[in-house]
Amino acid sequence: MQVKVLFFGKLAEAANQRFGAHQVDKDHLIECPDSCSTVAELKQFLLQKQDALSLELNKANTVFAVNHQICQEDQAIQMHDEVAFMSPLSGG
Amino acid sequence: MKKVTPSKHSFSYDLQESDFDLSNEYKQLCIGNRGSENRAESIEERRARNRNAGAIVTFTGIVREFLADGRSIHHLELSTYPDLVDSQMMSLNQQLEQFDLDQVRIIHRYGKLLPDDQIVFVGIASAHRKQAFSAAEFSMNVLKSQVAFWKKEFYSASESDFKWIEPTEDDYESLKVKMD
Repeated sequence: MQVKVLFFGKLAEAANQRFGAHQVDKDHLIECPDSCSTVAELKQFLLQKQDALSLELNKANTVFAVNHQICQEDQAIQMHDEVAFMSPLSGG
Repeated sequence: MKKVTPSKHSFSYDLQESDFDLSNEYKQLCIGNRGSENRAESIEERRARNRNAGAIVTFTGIVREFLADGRSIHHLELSTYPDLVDSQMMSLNQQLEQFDLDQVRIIHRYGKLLPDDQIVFVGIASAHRKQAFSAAEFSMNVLKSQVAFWKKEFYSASESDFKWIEPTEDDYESLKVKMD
């Protein structure tokens, strides 16, 4: 199934290395197995490759959002959802 | 300007690349308090709107130039996720219901910022100072570690001479204390 996947902060840099900067934008679609029914399962799918992105994604402080709402890893996902993987938030 | 309703107080925020005018923001809070620039409303109308602030607290965050470790900042790059910020601001507005406020105004900038540039503005109007100070501090603690911004600190013009900034333990702790 296709989901829109976004990366932010340090994760965006690592995602640029894997997918190419031109690919990682607001319309970045990823084809993942239909068995990916939660954020955690989508994360596992992305972790299959050993690179900087996997290193960053594996950090305990990664923040997740589905359709613009912060969530936990066990959040269910569906086709065409917008899933965001974010490094720790740091405003102000 | 994005207005979020409903709430007891008025709440608006802007996410913008451009700078903001501090004196104008303060003036708008004053106008919001008395209803119009020339005080055209009657006292009954003002009373009906329940705008009776005796305190306006403003906070402005600016880019520091010198760090404790001796390095200096060349510039910052702030990135954001506007769709998520929208929902987080609605949530912040709901959390601010715990205070007794009249008006809340927030501006957060993104993009490239230089030392001494303004990054963030929080303006609170409230009947009494304690609520205004507390709400301003609470809002800043949320913005520091709970809203979708990412800060990259550059130490020279070189593209590779940077560090990603993460919230400190203090930022998380401040938030915990206020939310308890």
